[in-house]
Amino acid sequence: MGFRRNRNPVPRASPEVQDLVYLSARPGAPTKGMPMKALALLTLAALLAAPLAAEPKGSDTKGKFYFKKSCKSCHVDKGSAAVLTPLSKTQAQWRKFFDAGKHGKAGETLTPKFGTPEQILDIKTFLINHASDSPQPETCGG
Amino acid sequence: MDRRLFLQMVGAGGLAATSIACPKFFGKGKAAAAPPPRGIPTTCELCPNKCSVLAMVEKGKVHKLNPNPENPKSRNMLCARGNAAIQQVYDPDRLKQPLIRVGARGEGKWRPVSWDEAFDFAAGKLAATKAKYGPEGTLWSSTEGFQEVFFKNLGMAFGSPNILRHPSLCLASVNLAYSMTFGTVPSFDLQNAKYVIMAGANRFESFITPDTMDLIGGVMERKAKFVYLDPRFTVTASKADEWYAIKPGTDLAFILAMIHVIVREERYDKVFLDQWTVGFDKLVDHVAPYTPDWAEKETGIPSADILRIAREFADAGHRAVFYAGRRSSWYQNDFQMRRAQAILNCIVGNWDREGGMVPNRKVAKGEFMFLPWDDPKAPRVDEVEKNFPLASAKDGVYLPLRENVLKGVPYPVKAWMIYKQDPLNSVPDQGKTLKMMEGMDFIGVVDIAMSDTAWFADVVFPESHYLERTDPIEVMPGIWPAAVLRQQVVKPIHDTKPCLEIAQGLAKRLGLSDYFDYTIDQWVEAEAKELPVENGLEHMKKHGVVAFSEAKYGTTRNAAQRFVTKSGKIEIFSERLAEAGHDPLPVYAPPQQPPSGRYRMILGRKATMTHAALANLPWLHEHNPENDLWLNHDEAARLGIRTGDLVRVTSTAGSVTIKARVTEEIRPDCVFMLHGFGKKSPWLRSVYNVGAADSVLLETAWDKVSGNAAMHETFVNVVRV
Repeated sequence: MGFRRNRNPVPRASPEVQDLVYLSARPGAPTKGMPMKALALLTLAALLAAPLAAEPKGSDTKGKFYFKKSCKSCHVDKGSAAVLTPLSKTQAQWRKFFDAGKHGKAGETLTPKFGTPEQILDIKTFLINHASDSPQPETCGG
Repeated sequence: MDRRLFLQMVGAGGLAATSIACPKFFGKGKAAAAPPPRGIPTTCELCPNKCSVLAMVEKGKVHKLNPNPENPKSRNMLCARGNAAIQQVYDPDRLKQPLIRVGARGEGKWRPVSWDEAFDFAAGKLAATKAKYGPEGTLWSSTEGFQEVFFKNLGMAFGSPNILRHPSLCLASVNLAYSMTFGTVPSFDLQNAKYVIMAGANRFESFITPDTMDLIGGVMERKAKFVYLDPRFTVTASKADEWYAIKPGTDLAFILAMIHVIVREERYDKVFLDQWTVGFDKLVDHVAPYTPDWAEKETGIPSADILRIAREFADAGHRAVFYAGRRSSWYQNDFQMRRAQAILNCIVGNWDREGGMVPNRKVAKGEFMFLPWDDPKAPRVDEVEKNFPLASAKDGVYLPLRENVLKGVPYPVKAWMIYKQDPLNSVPDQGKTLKMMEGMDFIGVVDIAMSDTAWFADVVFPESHYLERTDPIEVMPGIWPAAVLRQQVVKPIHDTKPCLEIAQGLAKRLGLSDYFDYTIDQWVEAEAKELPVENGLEHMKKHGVVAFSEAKYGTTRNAAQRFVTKSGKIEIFSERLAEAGHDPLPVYAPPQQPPSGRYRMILGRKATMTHAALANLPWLHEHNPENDLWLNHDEAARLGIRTGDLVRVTSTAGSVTIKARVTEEIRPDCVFMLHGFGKKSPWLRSVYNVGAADSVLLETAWDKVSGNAAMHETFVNVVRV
């Protein structure tokens, strides 16, 4: 399918809420009342989860460009490093990578070799927005 | 020509040609004929399949288009539409130079102008809109095509968030449902399947492409079992082993009952489910009420047949597929119906197996790096992120967008640029689309013919035909993936330009030239550099294609595989759907039934047309000169209507007059109309005011999860004129 962008990540509901929604959705189950209760709880869970799911505020569009320019120069098929796309990691794994701010076995810092702090933020935004477990996964052209 | 004869001709021609060049695909090698003189390799544009073509050129004129046997995905065939591309180039009705409207919109008074004047005029209007409403006051809508990227990029560089693509009029619900389940949209290995079920896609009649040939090969040559559901007796129904005139809108009930049987009788692939999926335990309880007896009441299909089909399907195991086909969304539950299809396929373990569903492979290619622009500052006018958070935010949702634009919320949109699309015919409720156009300060259209939408525009930019231009290299993912080049075969015969040059002409006047500072040759050269073949550019110019001819199965069946889903597994139960407020497992709700004296309007198309286009080309038009209204013979008798009578068909959206076809080949609760007729543009002379346009009648309804237009939710009454 076409590429999709995540501007509005959907927060994860608690297991209890998921069960409630699931039960209310079954045929034969009450179709009125229960879904509203489930939705109310879901909304609450979403509100509680929202701050935890806050994403970086860089530019998605520019992040894709800088990722291709800086990272894909090596991380491609038959390149000098393993193939890398946003799908190569989960959102948590990408966050962990950028929080550590180290690249490769040598542990080089990302700035300035791979871009300015602003450009690195853009790359981080793009990769987290389109990670393998994101709502809008993207391959970045393989 | 009779439609079945046409199919036979296309089918027989395709099979014969294939057996010469690619005998392995159909297993019937025949004596090879002398190879035809080789033409210039390029890529067809007349439908989304993009078959490889050899253009035969003499004295600067294309005189024949042949299939290119080097692309296995094309199956060495070129369909009726593909052949008729020649007539598109030399069509006397074609747009020949830029035009600026001088009369009222739709009045048909045009002034031929130079490209400079057309660019200045349009750029001035766009800049004025931006100054008054911001860049978000502009809408950029398009349909798929190799140069669509340049049109979209112009809209994005301009700063508009409102880039609107065609999937929400097409396959968005299918794509989203399979992505939410498997993390990707797979292909169906019809060439090797042994049991195929299809609901309504009418592949033997409405869309003759290489995978149709695989299906025909499977059904007719390998005797694969083929079960078909459709309220209408189509050509596909005539070729099926079993056809059921299912009650419209109840496909989901049929599928859930099949899942019920397979689960209850433990005919599922337990090893596969344990290793690769999440949520099967929840599915077991979920489908318990969906018995075949229950489904019989909903669908009208006998319980015993549902039970037997479910058992046969499960027994065929990984070579059984419930084929998604190619068709748009028809009902507001379309996403959940597609999810149920995906789950049914999943539980018999056909994932990534020969004869089952296969994740698409790609061919690696390079990419031209152009200067990126800033992200748009305003949210999208269709509010897709808020109302359809799982849908593709880059594609948008057409009908909700139109509703918002008509209401002026959350902000006004006053300029509309359109590429290669005819919203007046492709979007339900033509009256609303016309109203939306009336509210625009400016409308610009890029096309090769004067579509109805172009007829109502302020400026028309004539695009060069695909045989007259070079396009970006395109990767066609699939079981047999290919990268294809569309290269110029002949020089433009009129004063036309490729979309890139049209985008550049506007960009220059809008101060956006830095983002378009390249040529098509530079773009293609960058792409060709990383193709998996030596001297990529030279290879593509000579062959037109790089393809993998051998299928690979099972590549995702390894312990390290992480599916592109939230859990990393194939998701039978979807947490993400629950979080978005949708059913995490498909829940059935009976569709609304037409009130007394009204009929559900269903629609479809023919293999000679792509969407609402191409009906004007003589070779194609002669197969389907006019559409009519299929009406069940019992209902027709009650209404006093005979074949050939003019009838008035009316919905809440509009009213049309059309000839009736009285037939027993449709359910009594439905009427049917072929898509793509009743055109408003006199420059489409064959179909101007011929028959009727379904878009006049279709009401506004969409699938709740994907936002895909729901095309079969309209009830009409019918009276003899």
